[in-house]
Amino acid sequence: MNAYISDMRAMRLRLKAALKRGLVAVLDVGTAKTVCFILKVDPAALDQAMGQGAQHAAFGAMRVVGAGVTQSRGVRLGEINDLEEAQKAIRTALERAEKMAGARVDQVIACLSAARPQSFSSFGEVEIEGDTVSNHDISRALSACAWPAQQAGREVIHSMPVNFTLDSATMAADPRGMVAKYLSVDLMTVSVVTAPLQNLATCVRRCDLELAGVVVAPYAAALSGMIEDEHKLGAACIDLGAGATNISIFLRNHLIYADSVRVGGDHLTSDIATALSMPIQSAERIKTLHGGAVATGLDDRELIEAPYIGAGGASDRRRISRSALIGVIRPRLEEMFEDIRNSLDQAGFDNLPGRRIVLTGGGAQLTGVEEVAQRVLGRTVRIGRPLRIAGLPETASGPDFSSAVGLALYAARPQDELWDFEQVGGFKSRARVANALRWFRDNW
Amino acid sequence: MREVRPPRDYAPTRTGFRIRRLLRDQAFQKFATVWAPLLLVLAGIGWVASQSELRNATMAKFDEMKNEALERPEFAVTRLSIEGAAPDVEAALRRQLEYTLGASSLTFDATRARRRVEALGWVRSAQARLEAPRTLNISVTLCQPALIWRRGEALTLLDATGAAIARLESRAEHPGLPLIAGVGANTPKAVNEAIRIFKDAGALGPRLRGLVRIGERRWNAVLNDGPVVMLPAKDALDALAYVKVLEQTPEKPLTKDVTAIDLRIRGRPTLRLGPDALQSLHDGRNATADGEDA
Repeated sequence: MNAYISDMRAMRLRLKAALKRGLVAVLDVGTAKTVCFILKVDPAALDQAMGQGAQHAAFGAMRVVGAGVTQSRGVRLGEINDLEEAQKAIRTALERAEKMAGARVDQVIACLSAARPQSFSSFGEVEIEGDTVSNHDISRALSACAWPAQQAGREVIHSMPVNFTLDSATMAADPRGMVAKYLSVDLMTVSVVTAPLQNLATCVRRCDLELAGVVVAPYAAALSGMIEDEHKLGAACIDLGAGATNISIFLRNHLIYADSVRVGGDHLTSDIATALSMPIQSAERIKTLHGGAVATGLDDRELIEAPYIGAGGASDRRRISRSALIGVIRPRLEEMFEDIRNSLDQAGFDNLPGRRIVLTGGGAQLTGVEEVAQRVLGRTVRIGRPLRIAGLPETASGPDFSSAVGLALYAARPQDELWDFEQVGGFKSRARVANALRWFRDNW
Repeated sequence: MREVRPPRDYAPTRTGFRIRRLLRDQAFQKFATVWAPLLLVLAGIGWVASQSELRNATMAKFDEMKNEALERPEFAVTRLSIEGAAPDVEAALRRQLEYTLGASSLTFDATRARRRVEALGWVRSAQARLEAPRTLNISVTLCQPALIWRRGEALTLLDATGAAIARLESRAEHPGLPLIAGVGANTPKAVNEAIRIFKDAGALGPRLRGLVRIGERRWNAVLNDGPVVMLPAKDALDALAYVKVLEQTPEKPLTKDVTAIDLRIRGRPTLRLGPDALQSLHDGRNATADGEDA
């Protein structure tokens, strides 16, 4: 685990260096599209904004100077299953973005769109060594937290202290310098399946890029899809992707739950294609152009061109009513939201003070989807468009870009993961010697 | 049947992608646009310099090109304008500066031209400058002739400092100038003294033929009708004043038969009598002696 945390530290250092240089890229390899933004950061303004804790000022310190969007290749259900193809997509997107920016970027924050994230909360308490809380106390409290049981093939990707308690008085803000006797910390850990993470890292590395951070998609989507008050009061964000649906819950500005359901917009398309025996491309087309979730009387009269699979001449043309299309979409959508409801119930969303739900992602563009969501989930639902950052092209500002924009916000967000705190270990120097010896053994 | 080709992949190839990213790299751009050309040029120069034949050929070619450029007619000096010189001196100056006409104004050495002009006796000081576009302008200050110095048959014009201005064919060229002679008569001190003597001569002036330098230390004033006034090395003007006073006495010794009046020792002027005067002196003495005897 230590080696892993040092990897995370290395990534964080790379990100800091990139921010200081002022140019960093974000990369979202999704099921449907691969998005790359190049951000130009004003390091002085960013430092100042972070010092004041003003998140929105921090967003103001950066600007999108390059954007590249291309169709994803070699990705299935949010996971890369063909390295070569995925690399081609990444190269295409990056090339477009770099061309637009007129600069080369080497550090990239990547989004792990679906790798079955699981969140895990733990709690650690220590007695404070001095009178006031120091960095060292925080580190000790963090290391006192239970680490999720090491599961084969899973890896921790986020580990955030979400809440500090001083002598049983909760205070979410920075506890350093406060007077107390006991310090306890709630740690939120997100783990993902290793294989997709490794595949993503490999793709990025093979495109001559350095990873400056990996963010799970639910977190990224929630960062941009929800507004600051929703982060604070508590809300759930549902990112309806093409291959996976990501669920995240925020409370007091912190991610407290992340999950992913492996159904998405592509399933709607394949349902349409199967039910109406249409080519997949045409199914995707009529879904995006005419698709809807709620049928009205008018939809019976609205006819849509819907070719058969293998249709040749004009004689093979077919027209279906829009309500028939909705009739295919609706049940699958309800099924998806039921899955989501299960996940939310599992997280105990019912008991949270804020109970808003924000829909974002490409699926949120479907007409009437919020109505279905509201009916199934029993909550107020709104469509969340990503926060506008300066320089973002109009075509990349819809709900379907919320996780890519979220990555950009992640770069500017005050960083507070476990690995940003100093590591507590009794035998630091000995560990270093041991590492050196191991390196020699491995390499000679 | 026509061959069916798969559509070309729009994704950039790995190599192309790498090359284009390299080209976008700022450090590389700087290297490619600044350092690499610089290095290349330096390496080229170094290589040429290391090959002696090539280097010589290059230098020769360079010199040739340089000369060609310098010797273009557009750069030649074609006109000489001279200010402040008398016509005869101007002709001498033109002769002296003939070499500059047709030469390139780019390599023109004004100092050298000035030196050459100043080498002429008549010129006390000169300024030389090139005027746009192709004129060499020389402005000179001429020496004022003060004396004529005779050495044997040769006559030389001297200025007030004793510097030789020019040779003279005859005194008639400058009839108004006084004459000096003798070895060492042209030292600045001697010339200065001579000029003052001529100025102070007063009534003696019209009779004064000239001064002769004796032993490079003192002057003899030679008068028209014979007598020589031997002036001392020191206080020559005082001695001259004494002579002038002497001439105002009724005796007027210098109108008598006197070959020289020796004032070399202060307070003991001596007359050297001519043969007639000497004879009459003898006669007089003898008569007196006789009378006394008688």
